[in-house]
Amino acid sequence: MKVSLFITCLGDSFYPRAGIAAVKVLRRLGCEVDFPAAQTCCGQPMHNNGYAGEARALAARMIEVFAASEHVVTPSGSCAAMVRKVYPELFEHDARMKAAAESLAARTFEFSEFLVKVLKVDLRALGVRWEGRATYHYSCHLRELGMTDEAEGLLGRIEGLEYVRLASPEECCGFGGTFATHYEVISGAMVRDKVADIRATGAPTVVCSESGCGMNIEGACRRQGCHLEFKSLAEIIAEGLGLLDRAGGAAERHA
Amino acid sequence: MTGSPHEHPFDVPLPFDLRPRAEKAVRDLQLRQFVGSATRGKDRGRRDGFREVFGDRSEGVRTLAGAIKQHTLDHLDWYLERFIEAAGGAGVHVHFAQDGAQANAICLEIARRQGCRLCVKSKSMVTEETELLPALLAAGIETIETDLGEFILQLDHDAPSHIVTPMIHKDRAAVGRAFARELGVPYTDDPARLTAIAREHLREKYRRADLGVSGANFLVAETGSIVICTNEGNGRFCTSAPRVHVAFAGIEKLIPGPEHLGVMLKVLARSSTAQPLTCYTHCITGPRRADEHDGPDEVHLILLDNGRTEILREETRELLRCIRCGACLNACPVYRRIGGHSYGAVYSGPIGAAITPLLKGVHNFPDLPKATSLCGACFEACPVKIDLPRQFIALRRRMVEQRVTGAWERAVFRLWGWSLRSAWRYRLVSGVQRVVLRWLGRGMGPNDAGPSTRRWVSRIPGVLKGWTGERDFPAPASRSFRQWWEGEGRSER
Amino acid sequence: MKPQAQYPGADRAAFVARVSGALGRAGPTSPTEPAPQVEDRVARVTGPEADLGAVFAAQAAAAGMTVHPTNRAGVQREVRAVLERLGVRRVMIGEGLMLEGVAADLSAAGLELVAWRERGFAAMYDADAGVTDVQGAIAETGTLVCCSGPGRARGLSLVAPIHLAVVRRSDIVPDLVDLGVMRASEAALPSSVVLITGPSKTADIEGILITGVHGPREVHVVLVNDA
Repeated sequence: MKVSLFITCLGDSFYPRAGIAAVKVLRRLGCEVDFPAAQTCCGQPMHNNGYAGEARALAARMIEVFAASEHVVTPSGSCAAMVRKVYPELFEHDARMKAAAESLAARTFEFSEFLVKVLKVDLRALGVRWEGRATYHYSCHLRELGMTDEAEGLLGRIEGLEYVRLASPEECCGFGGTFATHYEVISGAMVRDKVADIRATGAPTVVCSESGCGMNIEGACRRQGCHLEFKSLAEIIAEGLGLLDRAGGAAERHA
Repeated sequence: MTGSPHEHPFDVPLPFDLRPRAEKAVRDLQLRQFVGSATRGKDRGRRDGFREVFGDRSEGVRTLAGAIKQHTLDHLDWYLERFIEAAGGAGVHVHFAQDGAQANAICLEIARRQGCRLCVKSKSMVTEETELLPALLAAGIETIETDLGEFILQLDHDAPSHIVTPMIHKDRAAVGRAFARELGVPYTDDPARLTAIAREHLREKYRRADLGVSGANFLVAETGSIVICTNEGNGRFCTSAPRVHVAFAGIEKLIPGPEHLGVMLKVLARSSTAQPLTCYTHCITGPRRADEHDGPDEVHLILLDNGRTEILREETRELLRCIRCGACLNACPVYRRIGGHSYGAVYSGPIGAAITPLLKGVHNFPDLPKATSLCGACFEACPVKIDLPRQFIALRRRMVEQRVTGAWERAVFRLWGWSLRSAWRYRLVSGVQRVVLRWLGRGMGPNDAGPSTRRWVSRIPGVLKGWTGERDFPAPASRSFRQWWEGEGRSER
Repeated sequence: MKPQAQYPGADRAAFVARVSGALGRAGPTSPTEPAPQVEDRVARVTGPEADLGAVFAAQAAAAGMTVHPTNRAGVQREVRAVLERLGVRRVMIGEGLMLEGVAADLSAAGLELVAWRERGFAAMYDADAGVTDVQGAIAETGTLVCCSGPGRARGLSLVAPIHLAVVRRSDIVPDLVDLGVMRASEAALPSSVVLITGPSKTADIEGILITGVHGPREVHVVLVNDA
């Protein structure tokens, strides 16, 4: 199976290890992975803030960059939702582009969704083993993808991983792009509650696959002097398969 | 937490600045705890109720409820005509108000002709919108809010902060103080005692009232019926005891026929208060008939536009599907933290943040469509499937087009968009960003305590100032994914 | 039809025209597509095959009403027993097939009958209980359907602290979506139809549930098995 990785702009700069892990895991699962070099950003920030023209231009670019891809997999739920839900709407009045957008939408998946819906992997059968206690942050954009507990289901199939559910997993962490900078007091109150919920689990590791949420929650944790480990689901699986060195994460990330 | 008793929370200078109110509310721990636990409880009740009764049909019944409302709105002129004919045939006097002032004027004229002196009023958001209460009082008509929550707010000169549970922001001690001060009863903070006091006080009013004012939850086009859903029973008193009943309703309340009413009732109370049905669902079709023993001699219905025809335009039409259940408020992480008064208008929460700018101009309420993380909890909770996040984005688009959004922000986004439209510009910008942020984050890197191996920045001026006010900002990794791919990643097996 | 021209406010035609304008057309036209169908597979919760008496009784109890099962011959005895147990002294009684003989029986038992027919609400405030029959009941939600009409005043089920309703098993329809059916079978809709699901309640003060705010504190259902 051929897979093109869409790393996303935040993932490329801030969370490369999540992307590396995704590539390694997909390859282990027998996928042929490529990375179209012309990719930049899906246009979500422009769209969300009301810059439809800018968003449309970037969408058209994305559609072209991934035109030949069989499947497009991204570690970000929000970018996947942008492609899946918004792209066809952006070209409502252009039949040709709308069809192209719908085609890309049908081929695009968030990483954990791809494992569950397309590859239908069983992590237990695969022998994924990751020792430790971890909690999971459900990012709001998974809602738009129609996903509920798929990632939690995957975590449950990892040998050695003790999963502790948050008390309010469905509650937004307060990221929301410009919301976090424009309405920092509201956003700050939201993320403080999220951090408290995470701390109450006693888990030292937070599985968080959405870059924006991760920046927000880990940044708030640090501000409060609480040092937890944040990892994407792909990183957990890669480590659990021995594809990435768990202890050597530092060296890999910041060599 | 309620502001001073004499300053009306919705009488705000324009353009409305949400931030000071929101910040004050966020710091009010009691308010946050109250509103937080009440809304979370209701939100959970709603989920459980739908799951228990509809299971995997939940989605389908919400789709149907949304389709019923959407169909009616798509043909609203037709259904309005049908309703007016049917209601008129049943003996209801139907009136038409283009705005709130006209609606109030009609009501006052009815009261004048009928010589009404004492008005009992049941809970109605639309009369909050038209500010009927002060208009009646100014005309010398003694007017009492009879919904317990609204009664307390009236006594305490306060305003509702939730569509369904108006005094969600108030505690029992505040109620006790208001009762002692305004009704001259000994102080108590026992909710049962307080409720009993209100019951006795209001019964006296029902006995004497000659005008009853209500809202409406649904208007049934086929039968001309006015449907009112309540729990306390005050609505039934207001529409049955006085000799004149005046109902206020926005034009979006229409539904085609009684079979649709059943569906709407199934989703309304469940979404609102996690009940299968409100205690009383009152369906009024005309005044008391000649062979009846009680009920009003006259029933008037005031149909209100007040900006709704603007929202009825295609792009925003879905907002008029709203049945005012309050589920989006209960689900909203922002509402839970800032409460209803922070929205500066009668309708609060996600639905308020979408319709207030449309009713009163985006330039007057520029914060409302932006003070949301677009998390989509409201959309998921909505029993008629209003895509609120999409509406917020559409409003933001309107703000950019109308240049309500500042020139500086517009320039930043245009430049950002431009930089992303070519791979080399993107690489250049990410490279610069990496150097700058890693330099700012020097000394806060991998040597720091804890498992994070990332460099973090604790203070950034400019656009990210708000971010670092509350949390650290990560510096980019020393090596991007792209660099890894171009190094070993591409060929690695 | 109505003297609206003398009232303030907008003219009907102009008002509707504005709505048409927003919809992008010149005037109201009949919808090209029918109103959405309410299909059973989507919306129905309780079907006609269910044990309607049992579902109704369970839902009514869940809504906070007390159900007293009896048979056709036991109605008077049950009504009197409930009212006596609650210490009711002044009672108002509506008219209806199921209530025949109830007034005489209660009067003989020493209860005072409130004369509400002439004075309507004004006479009802002093009553301890109101006794009515129903014009239907809904199993899905445990709901009583009370219509206004001759002998059936609105206040009987509202004003007194206790409401006692006599419901026949055969009055019960399965589901709220059957409301449409009820309408179709009736010539003219009564001026007031109220669906009652539990005692009057509020949770306005700190979310604490209190019953008997304005309407009845207790609702008792004498459920008559007439099958």
